[in-house]
Amino acid sequence: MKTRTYYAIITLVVGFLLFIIYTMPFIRSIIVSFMTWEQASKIPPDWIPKPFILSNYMKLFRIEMFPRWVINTLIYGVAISTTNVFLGLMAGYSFAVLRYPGRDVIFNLLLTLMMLPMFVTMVPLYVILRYFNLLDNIVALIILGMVSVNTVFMARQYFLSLPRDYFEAARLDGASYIRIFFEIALPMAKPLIIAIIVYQFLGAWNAFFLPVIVLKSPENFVYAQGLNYAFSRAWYVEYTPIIAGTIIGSLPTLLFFILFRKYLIGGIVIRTYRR
Amino acid sequence: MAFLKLINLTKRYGKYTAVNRVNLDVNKGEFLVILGPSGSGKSTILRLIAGLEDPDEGDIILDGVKINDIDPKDRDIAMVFQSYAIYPHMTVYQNIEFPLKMRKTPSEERKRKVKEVAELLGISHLLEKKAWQLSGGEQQRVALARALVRNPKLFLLDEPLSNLDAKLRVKLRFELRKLLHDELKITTIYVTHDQAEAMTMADRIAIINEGKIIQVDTPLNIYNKPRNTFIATFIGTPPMNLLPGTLKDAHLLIMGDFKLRLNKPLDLHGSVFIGIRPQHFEISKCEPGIKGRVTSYEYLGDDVTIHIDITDLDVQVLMPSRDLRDLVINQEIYLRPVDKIYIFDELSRDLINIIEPNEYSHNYT
Repeated sequence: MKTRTYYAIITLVVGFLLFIIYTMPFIRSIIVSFMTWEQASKIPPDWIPKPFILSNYMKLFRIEMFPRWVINTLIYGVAISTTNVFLGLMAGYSFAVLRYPGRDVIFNLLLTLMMLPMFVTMVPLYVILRYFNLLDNIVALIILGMVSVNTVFMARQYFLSLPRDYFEAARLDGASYIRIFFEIALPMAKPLIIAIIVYQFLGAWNAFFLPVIVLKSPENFVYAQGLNYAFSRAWYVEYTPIIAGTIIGSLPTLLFFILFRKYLIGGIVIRTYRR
Repeated sequence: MAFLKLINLTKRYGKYTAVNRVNLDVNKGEFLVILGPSGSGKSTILRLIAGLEDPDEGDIILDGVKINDIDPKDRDIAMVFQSYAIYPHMTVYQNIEFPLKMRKTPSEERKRKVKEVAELLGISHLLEKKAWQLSGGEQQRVALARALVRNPKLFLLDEPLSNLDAKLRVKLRFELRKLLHDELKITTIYVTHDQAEAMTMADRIAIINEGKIIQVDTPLNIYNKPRNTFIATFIGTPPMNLLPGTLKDAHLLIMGDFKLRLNKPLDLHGSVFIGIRPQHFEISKCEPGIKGRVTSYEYLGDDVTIHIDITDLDVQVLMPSRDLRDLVINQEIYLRPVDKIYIFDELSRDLINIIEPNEYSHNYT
């Protein structure tokens, strides 16, 4: 009985510490976004904004390009979420459910691709994009993000976790593989779809490195890139408006997460008769 | 010609042979049960017929057509899975409608057929429910309905009752046979490891062990003439007792100190296995008989199984409880066969002979 109390206390303390460690940057960002840069850069850090200013946020909205960047990012996010859901799920379904020669070899090759650092492919990518005249075009970003190996991997594992019987039963019921995908696999993958959308959307709002390489004109910029562009001065970077910008930038994903939390946390539970 | 014909059907997984040169004929309208212990390859045979696995060798002929290379969706074979595989995101109605939709049946006809089959199986009140709202028995009916709704040529069932409780199982096995065999007259292959299911439902039973079919026959014939000791001990509860024995001078069957005189000479000699069903013994307190010691009882209501130790061999005797009278644990008794005696070869364990009760006498000690 006593040991159990101790364990409970230890779990609580460790849990609280981890919570602080993980949320601290976010909390700090919120606080700093109401500070002047002078106060925000103080060491040791100040925790109460004084004076409490909104100008960091105001600066954002004063940028002429700001709505443009938000829209660009939305287009980018919506496009890669949709393509990832369809293409990623189809690929995952194929690797998990279908049988064809070389299936696992191809999958392993894909996984190896995941291990390659982005920098390795950067230059060839740039050359290819230039060749197709896609530089400084958001379409290039969308094509590059259309389906990620991560999504394929997640989808494959998800479909492997479902009882094979569903797919085989559908086969005997007369469904072709493509119909099984749309009628059985897709509807049963709701939690997975939500997760993919969240990851891809978040990825779009966070995207920085790739857009910097691909996009040249400010009106084509995506969110994070735009913020950096707007507040980088010749000799220094204005960090506080950027931080304010990231707070606003995290809102869509946060909202999405709150709305579909039960699917994400509940994870992959399909209720059927137990075996 | 048989409706379904399996010819030399073989399936290997790496070095392991799951199905080994299986030959089987199933007649139109027949209810055939494939019976075997778990891992014997019985489900694999079903999956081969359905087309969910490809055979390494051999042919599957359905209604005169070789279907080896026909896609499972075009084979017109329906299957009920052990897990039922009710699509969880659809209602019962949508589940049953699914195979019709895949076959592009017009919607009016779909509606009518779903209603019909739901009524047939008594699940009309469940049509709007989802899979997780159903009990095991209801799920089983839905799975059946989904398979039956399109009038398949061949109906496959893979242990459809093993997820249900014992009482429901007994009720449903009767209903299933009545529905599939007597009313709808569908050719059915039913896989199970439960010998009671096999005995009660089958027109014929195919017994399979280690990927090979050992015997195909009617339940009664299998019970009365088991081809080898595996079947003899697999069919019947409690299982048939096997005792080591010797045949001598064509007239003498020796089990320990006990000797039986055969009225008809047997052209055999040497060591054999002697099989006697638990019901086919009488217990006596005096000789002649096989000497043993009572070790325990299992009451089954009207009957009782008595475990008797014969030189470290557990022999089970089934008798009416009222005949138990004054038997006590550790008592020494003598067992005498009173019915059929099965003689199995010591090495191959195949059945050599059945000695009818009128063909021997045990007044010979």
